[in-house]
Amino acid sequence: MSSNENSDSAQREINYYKERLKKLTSSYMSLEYRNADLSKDVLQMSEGLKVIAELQNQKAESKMEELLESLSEQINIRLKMDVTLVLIPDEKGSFIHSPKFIKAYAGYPIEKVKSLSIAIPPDFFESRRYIIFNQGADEDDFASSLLKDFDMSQFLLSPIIHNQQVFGYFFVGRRSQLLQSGTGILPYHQNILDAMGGVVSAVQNQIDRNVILEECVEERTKELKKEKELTEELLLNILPYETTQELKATGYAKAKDYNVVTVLFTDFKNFTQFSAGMPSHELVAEIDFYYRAFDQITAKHGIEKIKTIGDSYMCASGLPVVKERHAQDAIDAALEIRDFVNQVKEERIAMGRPFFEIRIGLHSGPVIAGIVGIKKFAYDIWGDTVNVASRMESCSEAGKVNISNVTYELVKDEYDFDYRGKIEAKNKGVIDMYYVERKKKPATSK
Amino acid sequence: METKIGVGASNQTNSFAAGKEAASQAMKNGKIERPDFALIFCGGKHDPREFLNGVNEIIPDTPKTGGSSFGIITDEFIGYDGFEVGVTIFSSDKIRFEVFAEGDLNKDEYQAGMKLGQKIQSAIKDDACGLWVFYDSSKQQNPPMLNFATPLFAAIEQFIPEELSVAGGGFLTDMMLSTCYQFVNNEIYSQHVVGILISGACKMDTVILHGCQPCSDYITITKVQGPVVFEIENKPALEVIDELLGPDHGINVKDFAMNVTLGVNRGDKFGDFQEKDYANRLTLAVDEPNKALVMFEPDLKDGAEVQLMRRNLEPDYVEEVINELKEQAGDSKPVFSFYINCGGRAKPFSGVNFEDAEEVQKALKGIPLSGFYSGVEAARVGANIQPLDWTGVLCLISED
Repeated sequence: MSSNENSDSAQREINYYKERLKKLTSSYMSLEYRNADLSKDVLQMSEGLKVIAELQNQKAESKMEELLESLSEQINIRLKMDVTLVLIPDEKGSFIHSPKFIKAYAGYPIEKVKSLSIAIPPDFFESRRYIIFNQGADEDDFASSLLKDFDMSQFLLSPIIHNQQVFGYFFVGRRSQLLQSGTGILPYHQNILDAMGGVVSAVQNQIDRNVILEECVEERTKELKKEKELTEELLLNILPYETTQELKATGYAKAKDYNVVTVLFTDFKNFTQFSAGMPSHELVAEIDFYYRAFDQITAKHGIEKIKTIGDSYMCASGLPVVKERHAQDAIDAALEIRDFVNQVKEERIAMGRPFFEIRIGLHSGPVIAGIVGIKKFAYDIWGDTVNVASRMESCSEAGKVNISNVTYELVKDEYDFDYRGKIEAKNKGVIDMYYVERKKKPATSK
Repeated sequence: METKIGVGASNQTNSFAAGKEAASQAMKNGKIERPDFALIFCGGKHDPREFLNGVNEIIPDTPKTGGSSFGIITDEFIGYDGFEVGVTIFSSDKIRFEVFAEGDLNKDEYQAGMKLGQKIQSAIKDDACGLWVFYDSSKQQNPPMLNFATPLFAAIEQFIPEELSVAGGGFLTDMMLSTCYQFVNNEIYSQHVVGILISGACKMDTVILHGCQPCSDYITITKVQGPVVFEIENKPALEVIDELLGPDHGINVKDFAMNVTLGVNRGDKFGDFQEKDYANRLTLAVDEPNKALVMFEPDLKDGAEVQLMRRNLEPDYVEEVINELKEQAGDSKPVFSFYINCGGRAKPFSGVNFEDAEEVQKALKGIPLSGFYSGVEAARVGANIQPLDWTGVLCLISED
């Protein structure tokens, strides 16, 4: 082979390898550049997935404003947007939306954008569609207005669907890039925003449920309050107010010593005879009629009703709150009870109906007051004073208010009395007794 | 007092909150009680004043410098979305930082470099061990053009000792070439170059991470004007690249920017591949009407033989280079590492399936790391300060 032939052969070989290298370069470099392009997408997708993954940490009881603020921030950073905002309808169901929760690069006119009112075309709103707009795409009127309003060259408007309705829209946008074309907004961006919309909807559901729950709780609280008031009222019928407070605060009420109180007993004369000829329900109605009146009278004079035993009504003045004029209050109540019963008697006589007459007795002295037992418990008083007061009643006469000398000494200057003398009281010996006639008339000034 | 260095980062949208969060983290991470100096960087979507105010909530009186950048790198954070910020705080009796600044870069890079170089020269003492130079890359003009590193560093290097270790980076905020900002204490500038002189009982070692290999035969640039390569092999540059990529490559010509890298082999033309022999030039933008490539730097000349470069697909090389750096440090105790990495090497732009800065984080684990993504990097190649593209410049500061 000549040197020329050798040279030709070598040149062919060089050309062959150069051509092969060129081909390899072509395929290699185009692969590398495409890889760079894809890598951008993959990176953004993985960032988007991170956002979705982080949504798991979102508390169900989040406030909607806090959630949207946080989502807007995450979308803007993770999805590498220049602007992210949420369009919220001015009123529920309104087509007019206001941009809120705006996250953007420095220099973006946030205040101007905040003041915008974005009118969503009704057919677009109803269709619950989204828009992906990239540079060079065909612009309809709505897309054009969004491009202009938000000053972005590519954007995605994605509806947030809640209960089959548009709750609002995510808007994300990017500026055009000077150096590279950029990959623009892609369908997976919409998928990510869709997932975020799902979270917004779930949180809104929770908020809706909370509202219903709060209404239920409020209603139930009202019912409970009413029931509590009823219970307290019932309790107050059984126990003095102060004792109920002590019971509520400590769970129990201690028995208390009182140095001096005035105890009042009443008893209907000939009750047994009277009741024998009367049907039970009529008898109960009769007693109820009188006792209701007594309750009102004792309450008016600040006297604590203790109990009734058959036809006997027992109350005490000067407890549970100690008071100086316990005897006067008790006598005033006794006179009023006497007058009430007498008045009814006269009315009944006039109508030809049966009537009661009453004996009343009072005594003053020390007692112990408190609650005993755990079932059907009641406030009660104990002590010799109670027994003496009962004797005062039994030693009294119909239509009279009989008091002991002890009570007399406490009130002697304020009432007119009829001294009855020393009278034997069963098991209590001889006691000076007085009928209280009336309250003394105040002296007229001359 | 033991040297303490803390690094913090944040990517909140709110610039003030981001600055405050990053500075707080840096103080906490470094257990710093007496902040002496801070490096502060913020992404291009932030308001620089608000960011600085946020940082000043934590370290109001601390001397500080930095700028707006394409992205942030720390020990635990890598971000290039525009909303990231990074703050590094130093507290040391052994290491001193002095900051110098010069403006009007857009008018004349060489003059700015001369003035800065003179200022630095007058401050250099026997214990000077390193120099960082950060500058505004964006010239803010149309068509897109950068402030060039080649004249800037050519000027600076006249004033500094040959043995002084140098690392530099050009701030580029984003793909829109938005306005860049430089921080010097409480001032915010544009079109400035900042020099940070490092002195004390310490040393700074620097290595260059390349990660590019030639994948074409030699092609000759036949028409060039400044950074604009109009023709290769007497054909429009874009057509040549198109042809090299093969038919139906499906790549938008605009995306040649930040992708197409041309390498100049300064070693044996047909010898074994030696990465350090290559100076790579990345495409900044494409000039479609002229079918030209706009390069980051203007140093490719008519007749220059270049090759289309491809990126290394395996991350192993990072560890090798960092081991070399640690060997350079010798018995000194490494206290801080600083990484200036080309924005094009960030994963979304590099085309490789690993994050180069993550490999740096791994290899330097235990040593505080901060840095930023840049437009152009600079480091000493031999005796000269060489502007570089598609590289990472990694510095390791060690104490005696």
